[in-house]
Amino acid sequence: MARYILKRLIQSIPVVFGITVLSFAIMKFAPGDPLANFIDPTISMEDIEASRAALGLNDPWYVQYAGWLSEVARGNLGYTYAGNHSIRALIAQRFPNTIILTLSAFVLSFAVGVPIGVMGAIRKNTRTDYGLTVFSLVGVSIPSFFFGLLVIYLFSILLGVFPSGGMVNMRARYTGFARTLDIAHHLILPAIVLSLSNIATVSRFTRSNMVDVLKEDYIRTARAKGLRRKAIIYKHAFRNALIPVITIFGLSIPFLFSGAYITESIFNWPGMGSLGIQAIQDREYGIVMALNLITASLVLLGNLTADVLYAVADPRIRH
Amino acid sequence: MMQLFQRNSFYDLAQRRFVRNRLAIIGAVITAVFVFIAIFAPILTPYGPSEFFFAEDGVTYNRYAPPSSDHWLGTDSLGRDVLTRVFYGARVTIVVAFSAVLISTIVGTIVGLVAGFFGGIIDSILMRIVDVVISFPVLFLLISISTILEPSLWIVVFAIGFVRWTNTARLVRGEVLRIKQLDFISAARGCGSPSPKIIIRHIIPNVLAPVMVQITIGTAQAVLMEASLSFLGVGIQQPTPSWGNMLIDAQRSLVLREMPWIWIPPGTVTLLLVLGIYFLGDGLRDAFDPKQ
Amino acid sequence: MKDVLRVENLTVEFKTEEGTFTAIEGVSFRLGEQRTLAIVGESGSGKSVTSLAIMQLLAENGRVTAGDIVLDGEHLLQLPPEQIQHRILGQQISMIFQEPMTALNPILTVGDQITEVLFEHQDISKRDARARAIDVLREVGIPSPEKRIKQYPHELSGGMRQRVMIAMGLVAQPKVMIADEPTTALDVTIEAQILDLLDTLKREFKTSILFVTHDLNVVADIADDVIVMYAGEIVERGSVLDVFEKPKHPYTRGLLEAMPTLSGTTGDLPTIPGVVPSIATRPAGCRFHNRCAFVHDRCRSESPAVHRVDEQDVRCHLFDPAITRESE
Repeated sequence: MARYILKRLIQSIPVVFGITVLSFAIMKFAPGDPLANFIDPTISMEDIEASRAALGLNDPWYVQYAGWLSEVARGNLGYTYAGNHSIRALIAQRFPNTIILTLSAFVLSFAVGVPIGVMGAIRKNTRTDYGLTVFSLVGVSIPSFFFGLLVIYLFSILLGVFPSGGMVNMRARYTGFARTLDIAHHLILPAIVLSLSNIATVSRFTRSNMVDVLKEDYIRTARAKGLRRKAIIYKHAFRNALIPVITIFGLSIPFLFSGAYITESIFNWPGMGSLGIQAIQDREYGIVMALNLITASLVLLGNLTADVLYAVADPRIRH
Repeated sequence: MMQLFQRNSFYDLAQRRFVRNRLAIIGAVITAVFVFIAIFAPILTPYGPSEFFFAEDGVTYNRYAPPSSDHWLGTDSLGRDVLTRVFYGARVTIVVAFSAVLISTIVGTIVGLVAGFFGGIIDSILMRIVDVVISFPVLFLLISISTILEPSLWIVVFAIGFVRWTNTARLVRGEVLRIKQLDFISAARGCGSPSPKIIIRHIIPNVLAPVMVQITIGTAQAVLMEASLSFLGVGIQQPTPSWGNMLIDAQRSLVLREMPWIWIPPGTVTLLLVLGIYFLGDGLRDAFDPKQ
Repeated sequence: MKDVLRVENLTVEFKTEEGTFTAIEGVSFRLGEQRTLAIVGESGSGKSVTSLAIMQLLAENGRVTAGDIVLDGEHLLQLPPEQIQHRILGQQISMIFQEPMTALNPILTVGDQITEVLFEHQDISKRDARARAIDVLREVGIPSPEKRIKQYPHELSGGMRQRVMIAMGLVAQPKVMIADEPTTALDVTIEAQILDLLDTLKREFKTSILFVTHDLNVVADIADDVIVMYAGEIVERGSVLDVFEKPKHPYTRGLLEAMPTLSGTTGDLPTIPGVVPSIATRPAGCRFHNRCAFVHDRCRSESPAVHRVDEQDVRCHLFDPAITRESE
C-alpha cells in the first residue's frame, strides 16, 4: 500500500514539472514582461532596474523559468500590475470561498448522482429509468450559465426565495451562527448550478457500472445463495459498482473548478473564479497564471487522493 | 467507409440497433435541423446578423423591442433581430465545434496510435503530456489561451482542440494496446508486414467505432465550451453572433428580469443542439456496444 | 428409494428479438437421496438451462412454461418468489458454478461470503456462524481456515476458490447441490481432487448432487445415474453402469466412442459429424436425425417418443416396440 502511494507520487513528479512549464509558457506568450510583476513594489526606480537585472529578465527563457519556479516554490506569486497587490494575498482571500462552493457541489454531485444511477440500474428499461436518463442528458447538455440565469430568474426574481448573488447579506451584517446560515442561504443556488452537470455525469456513470455489475457471475451466485434482493443489490452489486465511481472523484475536481469560473461570475460569489474573470478583463496575467498553477496542483492532488481511495476500496489493488 | 459498413455484419447489426433507438433518431433530426439552419441562414431570414433597426422615430435604434411580426423574437440591446442572430449563431457554433473536434480527433488519434503502437519511452512521454493537459481545468486553460492569443474564432477553435485531444488519445491508445494483444496482429507481424501497414489494416477499423462515439460527445462538449467562452467574453467577439455572447446581456438584472426574449432563445437552442448530439452519441454507443 | 428432487415435463422458453424459442422441452428426471445424477450434453443441449430453471435463476427473458419441480415434497413452481428466496435457495438447494474466478465476489472476504448464507436463512450468532464457516472450510480441505476466512478470493488459487464455492454451497446443509461444470475451469489434477471431495462430502452432508457436465470421463467418475441431453431434450436416461456398458441412443453411442480414454488414445477418435443445432434451427422430426448414422424416413418427420429398453429410457425410433415387433 505504502509502495503503491509512493509509486504514484513518483509518477506525478514529471506531471508537476509539466504543469509549471505549461503555466510558464502561457504566461510567456502573454503580451508584456512575464517577470515584471514579481518585482517588489516598495522599492525605488533605480532599485527596480537592479532588481530586473537580478531577476534575470534579459536571460534566456529557461533561466527565466528557473528563476520564476524558485520564486513560486518560495510562495511568491508576484504582484498585480495595478496597485501592486500581492497576488498570493489576493488569492488567499478568495481561496476558502471557492472551496466552500466546490466542496458543496462535490458532495451534492455524489449524494444525488449515485442514488439516481442506482435507481436507474435496478429499474433498467422502465419508465423511471428512461426519465432519469433523459434528466441526466439534459443535465450535461444545458450550458451552466444558461441554467444559472434560469435558476436566478425562477428562484430569485419570480419566487424571491433565494438571493440572486453574493455570499453574505451585506446590509444585515450577521455574525456567528446567523452568518453561517446566511452563507448557506446564498450557497444553495450556486451549489445546485455548479453540481448539476456533475450530478448527471455521476449518475450516468453509476448506472452503467451498476448495470454491468448486476450481470456478473457473483450476482448470480448471490441469488443462488437465496440472499434477499436488498442484500444482493447493496452488499454485492452496489459496493462493486461504487469502486469505479471513485475515479469520478478525481475527474470532478477540474470539472468543478472550471464550472466555478462561470458559476461564481453569475452569482457574484467572491471566489477564485470571479477573481480570474476579473483578472482576464484587467489583463492581470500574473493572477491568471497563479490560478492555473494552484488549480492544476489541486487537481493533481485530487487525482492522487482518488487513486489512493481506489486502492483502499478494492482489495485486489490493496494487496 | 461506406464499403466497410456494408461488408461488415457487425456494422449491419449496429445499424439495426441504432434505428431501433428512438432517442438517437430524435438526436439525429435535431442535429440535422441545426446544420440546415446554419447552412441556409441567409435564406431563412430577411435580415443581416449585424443589421440595426431604427425605432419609429427614425432616429434612435429600436433597442430591446419585444417580439412582434417584424421581429419574431424581438431585438437586442443594439436593436438587432434576435432570431436572425440565433440563426447566424448556429453557423458560428457548428463551424467552431466541428473544426475543433476535427483537430482534436486527428491529433488525438495520431498521438494515441503512436503511443500505443510504439510503447516504451515514447508512450511514457506522450501520456505524461496528456496528464499535464488534463490537470488543468478545461475552462481555465481555454480562457488562458484564448485571452493571451487575443480571442477570435480560430483561436477558440484551436483552444478547444488543444484541450480536447487528450480524451481521444487515451481512448485510441487503450484500444491499440488491447488490439495488440490479439492473435491476428501477431500473425500479421509474423508474416513480416511493415508496421504502418499493420496500423492501417487492423487497428484503424477497430478503433473506428469508439472514436466515432468520442467525436459526437466531443462535438457536444465543444459546443458548450464555445458558448461558455463567448459568454465570459473571451470567445467569439461582437459583432459576430454566438449563442454564448448573446447571453452576456442577460447578466444585467433588467434584461434578465424584463426581457426574456433576449436570453431564453439562445440558451434554449444551445441546450437543444447539445442534447441532440448527445442523444446521437448515446445511440451510437448502444449500437456499437458488443456487450448487448 | 426416496426421491429428493423430481422434475416433470419441464419446458423453458426464451423470448428474443427474433421470436420465442423453446430451450428445453419435456425434461423429466428424479434424483434419489444421496445420489449423484449427471446431466451430460454438448453446449446448446439445454443442460445448464435445466439447472438454472430449477434454481429459478433463468435470465430475464427466460420462463418456465410447463412442468413441475418437486423438492422434498414441495412444488417449487407454485411457491411465491419470496418463499423460494427465503426458504429454498441456499438452504435446501444450492448451486456451484463453473468459474470460481468470477463466481465469488471480489471485494468480500471468504468468511463473509460463507457466513452470509447462514445469516440469511438461520437465526445464528456471529460467533457460531464464524465457527461453522471454519468447520466447513476445513471439511472442504482448505488448510488453516481461520486465516483463510479473512482473505479475499483473489488471494486463493483456482482450486481453492472452487473449494470455497463448495463450502458456500454446503454450509447450510442443503438436500440438493447443483454443480454446473464445477471442474471445467480447473487443471486435471485439481479436477480429480475436487471430484473426490464432492463424493466424500455428499455422504458426510447427506446431500444429493445434480452434476452438469459435458465430460463423460467426469460422469464415469462421480455419477450414479446419468441423463443425456441433446438439443433441449433428454435422449437417454439410466444408471451410469448401464448407459456406459450398453448405450442405446445413437447420440450416446457417438459420445462414448468419441471419448478419449487413458488406455487407448492412439489414432483418430471417431467424432459425431456436425454440431448441435442452435435453438432457432432445430430440425423437424428427431432433432438428431441430420447427424445420425441410423437415420431413416420416419426420423425426418416424426419426433420419437421415449421408450423403455432394459433399465434405460431412450428417445429414438429404433427402439419403438411396435417396429421391433414387426421386424421379429
